[in-house]
Amino acid sequence: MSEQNSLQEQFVESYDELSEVIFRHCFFRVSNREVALDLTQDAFVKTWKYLQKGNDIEDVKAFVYRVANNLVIDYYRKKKSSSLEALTDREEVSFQPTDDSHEQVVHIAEVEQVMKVLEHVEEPYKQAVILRHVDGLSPREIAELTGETANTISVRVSRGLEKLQRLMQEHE
Amino acid sequence: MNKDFRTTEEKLERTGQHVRLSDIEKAHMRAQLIRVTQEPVPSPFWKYILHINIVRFGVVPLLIVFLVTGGVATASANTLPGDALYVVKTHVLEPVRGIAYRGEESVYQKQLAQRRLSELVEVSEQGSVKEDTQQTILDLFDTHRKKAEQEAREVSVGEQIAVQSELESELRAHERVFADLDKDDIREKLQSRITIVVQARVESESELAFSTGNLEPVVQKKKGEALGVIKKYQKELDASQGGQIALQTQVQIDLAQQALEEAEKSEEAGSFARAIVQYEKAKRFAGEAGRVFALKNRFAIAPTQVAIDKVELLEKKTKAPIPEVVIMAVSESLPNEDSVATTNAISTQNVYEYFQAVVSAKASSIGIPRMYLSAFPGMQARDFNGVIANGGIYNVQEGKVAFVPTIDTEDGTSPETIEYEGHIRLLINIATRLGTEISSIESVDLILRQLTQTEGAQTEPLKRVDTPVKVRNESLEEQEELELPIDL
Repeated sequence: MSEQNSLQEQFVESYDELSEVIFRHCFFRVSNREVALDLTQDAFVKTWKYLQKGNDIEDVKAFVYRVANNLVIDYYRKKKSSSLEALTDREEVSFQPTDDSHEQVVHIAEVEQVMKVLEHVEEPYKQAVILRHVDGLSPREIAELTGETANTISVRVSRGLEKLQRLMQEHE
Repeated sequence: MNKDFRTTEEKLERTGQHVRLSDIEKAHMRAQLIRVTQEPVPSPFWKYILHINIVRFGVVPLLIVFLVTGGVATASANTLPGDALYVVKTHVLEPVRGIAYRGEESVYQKQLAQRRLSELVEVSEQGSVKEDTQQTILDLFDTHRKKAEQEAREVSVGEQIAVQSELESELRAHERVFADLDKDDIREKLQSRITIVVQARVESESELAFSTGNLEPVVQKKKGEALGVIKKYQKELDASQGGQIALQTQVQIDLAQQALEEAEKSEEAGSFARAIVQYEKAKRFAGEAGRVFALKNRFAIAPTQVAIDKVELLEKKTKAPIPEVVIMAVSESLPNEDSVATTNAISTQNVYEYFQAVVSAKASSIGIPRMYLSAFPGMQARDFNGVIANGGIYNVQEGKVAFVPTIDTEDGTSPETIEYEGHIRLLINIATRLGTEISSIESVDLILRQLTQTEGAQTEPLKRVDTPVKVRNESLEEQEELELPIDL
């Protein structure tokens, strides 16, 4: 197998492993399924282009997260928009319910509520909360991704949660 | 951390678990990424050049007018890669003309992509093409292709499929032409691009299958286009002189016709997405046929070196110039991985070898015309016109097969016997007369059945002209019947 083929294979394996988490992260950040799909794909394409130039990536997961984060920032710079339209229109592909339709409806309602509230949490608290409690990363991992200290991240997560909880109570 | 916080965290985590990529989305994105990883790496120089937006840097309208109509434009318009002004043509003149182009941007970009392939052929005809020149042209082709696809996508998925199909036909036709020119390095590069375009088209077709819009008007449009393309190229073929290229082109046109019929069935059944795909398929087959035909005629593709060697060997054997049609037949008969061969999983060479094997077995002799005429009532004297044999060539005089010797056979081989190359010409002659294609073993079987079943055909005696060599005295009765590989 040539070096190029081996690289392609490793890259596709990385996609198989990381696509779900990167998509989820993008989805919670931009509140739009279609945009999240595009951003996820762009993140992997950019990663590939970087590899193609002969660069090495030590931690692929961290790298793709960083690229996705930059894309999210670019997205908001270009267009400040958030919509739940895609979510509600495409519920059949948005979720993979395991049980009956009642449970699906509950899931959709939950996601809608969380997304609505998250929209009102400012950056960088929103990013920290999503990375910590949606993506399940540790404060140390988030610190490595964002270039901040673990302590700063813990503070951001805490303040983000505080704001989120207050907003949730207001919406209930 | 208080209870409320825990609830919020749990809610977030639980919510996160419900947001997932669907299997379709995941597979689609995966396919797109694989496609990206297979795309060739653009050369850094051209990548840099392509990023320069000349218009953005304040080229005044006056300069645009000058560039489009002035001396530089005129001088650069017909340049080829490697010429000093080629970069002016591709990076100034064409983009500026694109601004003034009134049609769809996708069409303009597609035309530029097609132009790049034509330039590649023209440059190749002038001799070997440097690696960086190939890369320059193909990078530009990739850029135009991508833009064409993106712009078409802005219109509709159907338009995107149309652009992808057309570029696929263009690439396949050029790939076949480069096979004839023995430019395997360029051919391989085109093959990798064919793979990319095919993958992209298949993805677009899958997307179309999920389309919820009203596709019926699109079906009508595609049907009209498919009928038009088939009719156009069939007309050109009918007006041609025939020959092997025409026969192979006819095979493609027939495939297009089949696809058209399938599309009509799908349309009748209300499967509009499927009908669109099949109409595009018909356009693609016919388009490829037309382009191959036009390219070979336009560039007067010479036989490959292998073919030239074969022809020279024949000339040495016969000590006579070999007719052009035979040269073409020898050239076309060489192993050639074209789409027809792919479709039928058989090479042209195998078809001729098969024909030779079957007629020889049935006639109980290899390459003796009168034995063939005895064995196949449907075979006619004129079928042997121009057929090369050992020591000479056959033609028809006064309605009879005549052997015109050109050299005495001194190497112990049987004189007047038709060898492999002669069988190619014989099959082409028969197929042309019967109006049948030569595309597969099955098509040869069909021809052989016709030759066996035709009634009332007279076996015509051989006529010898000024022969210095004795005719082999063999008769059908003296030969044992051989088992045929097919049921005739």
